[in-house]
Amino acid sequence: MRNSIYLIRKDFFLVRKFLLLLIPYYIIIGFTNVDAYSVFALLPAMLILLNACAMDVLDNNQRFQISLPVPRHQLVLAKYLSLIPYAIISLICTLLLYLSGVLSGQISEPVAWRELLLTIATFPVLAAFYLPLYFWLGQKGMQIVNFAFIMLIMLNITATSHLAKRFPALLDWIHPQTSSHILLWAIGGVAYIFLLYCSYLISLRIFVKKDI
Amino acid sequence: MSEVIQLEGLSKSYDRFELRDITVGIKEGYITGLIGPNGAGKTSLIQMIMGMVYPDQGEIQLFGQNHLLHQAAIKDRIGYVSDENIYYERLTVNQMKRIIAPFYSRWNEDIYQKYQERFKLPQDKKIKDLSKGMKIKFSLAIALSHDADLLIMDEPTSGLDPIFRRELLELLSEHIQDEKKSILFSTHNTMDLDRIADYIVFINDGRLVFNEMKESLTEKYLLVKGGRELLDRDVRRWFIGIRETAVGFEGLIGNRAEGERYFKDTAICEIPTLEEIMYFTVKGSEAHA
Repeated sequence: MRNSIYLIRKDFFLVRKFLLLLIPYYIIIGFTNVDAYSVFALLPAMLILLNACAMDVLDNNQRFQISLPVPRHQLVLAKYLSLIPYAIISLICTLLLYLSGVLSGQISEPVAWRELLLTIATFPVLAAFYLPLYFWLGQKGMQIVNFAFIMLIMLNITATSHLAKRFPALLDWIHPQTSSHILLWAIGGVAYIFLLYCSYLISLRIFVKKDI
Repeated sequence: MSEVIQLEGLSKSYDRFELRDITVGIKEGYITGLIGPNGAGKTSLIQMIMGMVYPDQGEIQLFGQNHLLHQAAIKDRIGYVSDENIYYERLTVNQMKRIIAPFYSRWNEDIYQKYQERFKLPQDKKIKDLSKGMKIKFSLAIALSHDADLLIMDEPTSGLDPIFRRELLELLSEHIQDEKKSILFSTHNTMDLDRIADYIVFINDGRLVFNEMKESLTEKYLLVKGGRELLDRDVRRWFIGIRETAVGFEGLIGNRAEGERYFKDTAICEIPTLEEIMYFTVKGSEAHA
């Protein structure tokens, strides 16, 4: 666990300049689409992950990681654990955006927690598809995969708003006053964890036997 | 005498190259030079020892432990200097050090500071802005700052100026004063090893040629220089490799006693340097290929 923390810390060293770019990102969003603030919680987290992964394969840097006194499975685990702080950063930034919307009078609604958390929860799902590709391809082909995932996120953002217009029931479902179906949430939760675990196992299987 | 690295029947196939059945032991408490021409398989072998590349066959043991089962504990005791930069180019020297230090259980900040001053490493300079020599110095400072029992260095002297090159060799000699420390040092510049190595492992074209004490090589090999009239078909067979010119020949014999007996009155017999042993072995293997 200690090594995972050091590896996540290393990733933050690598993306620290990129994190500064989030400030103008959220300012622009604040001016243009503050009413749809929750859907913009996904992109920063995914971009931080893409950036951290890209930095790791850039200049033989996976060899550096392998040279450290850390087993390979911990290198994989740390990448999955790093999703937590990235998601938290996105959540905090989105809440700050909401707060500024409230203070400036542009938002009068209470925080759409369910919508916001569902958007944040989409991040690990996307990462569950992205990380096995990252461990498999390494430097080769990652630019194409990164581009494809950014497009996917952009599509996800527009698709969510289109879906909400086409299926008003979806809006009802994510509305805070709608009663929760515990069984539905439980099945969804188990499927979610299962997906992440399968992704981790696939990444592990790829990376543990890979020549770097 | 215990072995700090044991390689048993290592084989690995690449598209255009193959390491074949390498079995070798690296002795604890000594400097072992890994020599061979470019493309002989030195870096591949080191990458296998470091767990970066997996062998198709064979087993690797470090400090008597399987290198896959005890990766973390083993690497905690290894200082690794790569032939190419493996650090994050966009980070500064100080940031990179701060990333690395917490991973090692025996990291000593005072020792790092000592080497940083000795090598004049600029703390706030980005890795990408360092010269190749400076990058090697940084790798070396890192490798020496966590009390590594085994230093594995892949072509560490390439790109170094002659002054630091000598300083590095002295540094390695100092490091080895503690009899528990060992060094595996790959190079194709054999002059470095003539100065400091105790053992020489020679690989050529993916095969182990020999693993010998450096002193015993001078007892085993003989360099013969003479006129071409001395070379007939039977005599040629004694030579590992021969270089012929218009006026004469130079050749390496693997059985010194026999060579001296035959050539002492008719040719010049000399003790070959490591470079000559390497040159004639490679030349001989090309001729027989």
